[in-house]
Amino acid sequence: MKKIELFIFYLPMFVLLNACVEVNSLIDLTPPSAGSLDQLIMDSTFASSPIPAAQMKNVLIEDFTGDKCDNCPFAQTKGIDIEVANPDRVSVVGIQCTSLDVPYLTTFDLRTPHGDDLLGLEGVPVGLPQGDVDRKIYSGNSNSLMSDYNWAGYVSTELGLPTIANINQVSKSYDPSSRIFSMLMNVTFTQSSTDTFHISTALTESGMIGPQETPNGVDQTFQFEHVLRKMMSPWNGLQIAASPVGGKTCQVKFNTVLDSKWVADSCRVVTFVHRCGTKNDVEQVMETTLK
Amino acid sequence: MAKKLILIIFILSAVGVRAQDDGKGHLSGDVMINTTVYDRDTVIGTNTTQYLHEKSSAEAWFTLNYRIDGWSFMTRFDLYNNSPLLNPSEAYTNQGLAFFQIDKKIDKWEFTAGHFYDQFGSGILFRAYEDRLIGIDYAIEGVRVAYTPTDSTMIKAFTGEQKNRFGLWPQVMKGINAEQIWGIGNVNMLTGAGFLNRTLDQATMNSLANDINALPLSERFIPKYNMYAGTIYNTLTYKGFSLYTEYAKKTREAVFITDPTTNDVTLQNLDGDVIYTGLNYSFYGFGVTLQYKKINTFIMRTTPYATLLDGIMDYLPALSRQNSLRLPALYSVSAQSQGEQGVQGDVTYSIDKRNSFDVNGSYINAPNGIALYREVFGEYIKTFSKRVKGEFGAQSLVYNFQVYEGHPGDVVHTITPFVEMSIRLDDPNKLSPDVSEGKQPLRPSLRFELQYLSTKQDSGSYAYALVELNLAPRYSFAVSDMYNIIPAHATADKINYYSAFFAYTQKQTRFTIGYAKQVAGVVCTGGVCRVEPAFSGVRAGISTNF
Repeated sequence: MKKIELFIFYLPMFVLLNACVEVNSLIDLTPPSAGSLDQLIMDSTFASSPIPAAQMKNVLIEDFTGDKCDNCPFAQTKGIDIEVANPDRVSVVGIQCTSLDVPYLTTFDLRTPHGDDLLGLEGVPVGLPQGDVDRKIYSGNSNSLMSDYNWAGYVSTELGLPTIANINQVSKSYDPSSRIFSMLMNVTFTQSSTDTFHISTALTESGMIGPQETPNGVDQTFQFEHVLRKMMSPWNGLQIAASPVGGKTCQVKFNTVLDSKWVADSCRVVTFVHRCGTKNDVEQVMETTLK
Repeated sequence: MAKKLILIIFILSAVGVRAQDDGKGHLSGDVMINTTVYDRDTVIGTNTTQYLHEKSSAEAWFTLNYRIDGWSFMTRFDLYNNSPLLNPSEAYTNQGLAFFQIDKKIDKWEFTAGHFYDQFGSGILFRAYEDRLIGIDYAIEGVRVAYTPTDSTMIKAFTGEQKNRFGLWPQVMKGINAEQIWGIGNVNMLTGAGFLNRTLDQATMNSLANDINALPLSERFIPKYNMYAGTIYNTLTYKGFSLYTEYAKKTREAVFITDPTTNDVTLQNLDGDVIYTGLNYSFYGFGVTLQYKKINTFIMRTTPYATLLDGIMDYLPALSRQNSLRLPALYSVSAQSQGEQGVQGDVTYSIDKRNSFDVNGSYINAPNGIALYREVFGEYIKTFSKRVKGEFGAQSLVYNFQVYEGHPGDVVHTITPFVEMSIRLDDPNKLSPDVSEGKQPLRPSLRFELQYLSTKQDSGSYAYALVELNLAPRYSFAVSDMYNIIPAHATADKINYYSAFFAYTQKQTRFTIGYAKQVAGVVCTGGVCRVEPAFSGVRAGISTNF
């Protein structure tokens, strides 16, 4: 009888305790390898008083491209033209991510681990080149992707909109010997919002020479511009605020180690604050050099 | 929402027809409508969106209950128009059926579907409740079963999701609670235990993973989808003694911790517990209450990303006196779920029917020893005659401004003497003629309050005066002024926060209107507080029940 009671008592206990065991593979606990010592840390939050005036809104273009896409060089040129026409107001990030990016040369692969994730966030492309402006889904579109000839118009619209998030660089440093780049930024919300905001940081490099398909055949000496080398944040950003109130300031710092093949003088950091959830709209963008 | 409305109308009308057949149905309800007009005052710092754009706001609640043959149906229409109630910095607009409930009692069983309010024990583990004055509605939408096999035994269980405005938090909650009343001789006991489980949804877990992966490797951890928490509690009563003890504990989960000195926020994987005990003793005009509580990161929210008063699943009683007078209540506190330890004692003594004393003390520290709150309160209540009654007292407190108000500020030290006098203007010995209520003679009375809060911190010292004329049971008029008599900064303006108030009561219906200027600060009800911005404008309201 005692054994039956023990069995009745302990069996459910064992099952219950065992049922509490969870599987969660989302967390990366592996020590970072050299060249990937990225850290993006939400350092602190505080209230700014008085609430600062809103900055002028800058705009992000994400250009999904590939070296086997013969029209993609035109999109790269279009992005550069828009940047030049709006100095310090527009940042372009070229993302190599689809089957059209299978490299011609195994030694020249511009794909990144999160390129496909970023494209998945925006939608399914109807072929390349495609891109988004501030990750917004504009009226009449089913997703945020659009052809490059539409970018200039939407960029013009976005530049005239107000923003509720100011991004200010507090400090930055680059150590050529260790190749470690560090930056401290403040994001200040100038108005309250019920949305959730993330911050993303992308490292881009320009000036690499390699093969690229064009309408006239493969150009072996094509110059690639503002190519995404890596996301230094999680690919969809780090959450910095949910329902922020006006004046909330989030101080974010990050470190990254540059790959030995990347030219520091040709690298830039594009930081942007964006919503996360049903909308992914970019609220503000800041671009800076490493030095 | 339309489907909910149709369903409830269908059920009410179907049962209503039957109710008319047998006449056993009972319909009841209540209505509350508040509206505010905002009058911008840049001197006191009214700069929320309502002052700049919307200029007015409204809230309304209309509750309907219908009971018949063990069935109970309840529904409530809520309205928020440009309202700052749920978030003081937001103009929130929405309306619709925010509450519906079907409840059936069958013998010793009770079944509930829809929204419900409930709590386990004192609420430290779980409490679903509404406090519309500060924009709280923690109703659960789900199912609940209660079983009462005997008069001394109760078991209940539920599962559901917490209400979030007109929607739901996506995290699932489930819980079970059992209580047993028993005793030995003159010693009576109520012993209970509760268990709660909350499961995070995948989107929240993805956000957590995102944030944790951004931490330095040494600070990363594997967050749990499930948080389990349990409590045991007991109330012992023996003659005039009553002793309540409770211990609650929760498993590790991801929580955001705010450093009380720097306000830095970090994501950590922490468990938590609470010890709470309260002793009451009363004997012929003498009463004493002693409370002790220790909280160790007992943060019970539907999601770690819930902010302000959103998504709180439990109720932690505050170890402070619930002051009703304006200046003694200016620095009120709520329990700190992140951690605190403290004691509170209260002694009341009535010498005779005309003289009584109340002395209260609170002492609360943060886990790291930082002083959070100290209060010493003394009050002498004197009944001079059947017409005149006075209360004389003083309060001294220490208030950790940064912890309780969430932004930098010095620790506030105050001393607040006060006087309150009530004077009946009619003859209390004269019996009222037995007439219908509509022609009932008015009973005039006056009430005065004088208070002075002395402090060198925050915005400085205040003087407060109030005069109230009541013509019971129908009319009430009041004017008051809270004057910043010695501002903390010599260059600051000496601001008057004046107000005028009128109330008219007709049977169970009460209409109020008032113009007020109100200093920014915490507003608390029942030990739950929120920080509110300064107010300037007109508030009007009407409430009734039927």
